[in-house]
Amino acid sequence: MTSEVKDTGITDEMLVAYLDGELTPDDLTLVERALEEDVQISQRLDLLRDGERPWENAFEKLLEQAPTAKLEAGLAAAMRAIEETAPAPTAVELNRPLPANDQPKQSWWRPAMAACVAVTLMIGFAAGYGTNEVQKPQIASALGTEAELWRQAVADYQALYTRETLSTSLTDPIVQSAGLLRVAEALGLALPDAVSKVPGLDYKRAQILKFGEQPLAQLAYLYKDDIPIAFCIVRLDEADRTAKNEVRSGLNIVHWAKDGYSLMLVGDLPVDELNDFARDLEGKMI
Amino acid sequence: MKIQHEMTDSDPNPVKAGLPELLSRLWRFAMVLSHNEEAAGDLVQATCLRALQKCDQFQTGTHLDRWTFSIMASLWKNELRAERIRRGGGFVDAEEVLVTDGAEKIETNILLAEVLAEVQALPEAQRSTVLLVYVEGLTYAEAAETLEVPIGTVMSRLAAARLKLAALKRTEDDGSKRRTKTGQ
Repeated sequence: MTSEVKDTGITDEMLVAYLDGELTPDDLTLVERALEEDVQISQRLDLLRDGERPWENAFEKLLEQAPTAKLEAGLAAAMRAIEETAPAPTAVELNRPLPANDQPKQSWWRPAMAACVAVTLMIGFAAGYGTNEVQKPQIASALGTEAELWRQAVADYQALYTRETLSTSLTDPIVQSAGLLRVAEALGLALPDAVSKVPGLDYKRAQILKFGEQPLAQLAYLYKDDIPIAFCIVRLDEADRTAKNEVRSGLNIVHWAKDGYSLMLVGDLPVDELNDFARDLEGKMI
Repeated sequence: MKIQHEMTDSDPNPVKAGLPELLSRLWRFAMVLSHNEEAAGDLVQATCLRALQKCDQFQTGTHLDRWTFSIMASLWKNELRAERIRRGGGFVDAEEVLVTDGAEKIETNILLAEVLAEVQALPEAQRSTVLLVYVEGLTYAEAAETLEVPIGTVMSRLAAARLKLAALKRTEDDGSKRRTKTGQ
């Protein structure tokens, strides 16, 4: 696309570099002189200037449309895959062993992606799409029971949350109630407004995800204006059981099962406080 | 019960700690490269994986965004683009819009949406260079390093892109002038 105007030696590339402030001092002198002397060159500059656009503003729009939740979930899966593949071949890799020879360019991502597929969370916007999906691991027996898998998947996802993740949530009570209703409908379980009013927790939003074929409800709260907490519910047809504690992905979890639904509260806060909130929520779910 | 801290600010791994806030910008670059939401998602995830695998090569204090952009550009060029073409996905689909669906779309300033559409119509090499230099603010030298091409190539891509967009603008301006005259 290099095209010189007459035989001045001034190319389109030089004129663009001039517009972009990227010319070397010598070329700058050359271009400035040519612009003064040759009207054709200044006309060519005008043409190239017409190729400018409000780039940043336009692309800001694209940034706003990034499927943040889905990307966070992909990153969580990537981190998990790295943890599982890095130290030594694990159960996850048995289906697709790493090649013995070291050819990362051809093969590096395939085993890792295989592990990713196992715990990939595909999550879209809650507002209206209804196709959000937390993929059920393919090799369940290697990783644990279904109930353990969903808790791990939720914990992986939750570990990526920061207070900023929830900062854009709409706090209008009507919007929040509508969100709860929508999620309750998808889940097939009543979610009373009271679950959004837990003393000590600032309720942010509800969204519906999917774990395998099952809808998964995620209610997000902020604790002490800083720590994201999630209350998640999925129908796994587990037998009723009382609350237990565990740690996954560095987060404290309290989980229990009732009437075929598995429930968990997860967050990076002391287990005693988490248990208090869980008891409160359990009471409100009746 | 011991509370572990794997994801805190004090994480000694700057790649792991820095990736979450780069995701949207990585996705935007992936959309510009791949023109396709599904491929963009795959590309972001593959980039994250590669970045995490190579995290010991990242030099603390340098720009994590540029480092990950170059990983993404390289992955796209060397692996995923070919993979996608082999799968018959086709990475340049004129029917696919860069602006994705969503409630926000209605409110999106039409002119800004037009800019995205114009960039979308550029060849892949030009639009990725435009994004890195004009949107992400990389210097020519940084863009050249990221895309693994000579600086001269960056310059000629930008010149070509500007000429194409200038032609679009002037055609449009002529059109509206004619419409105005007809209207009188």
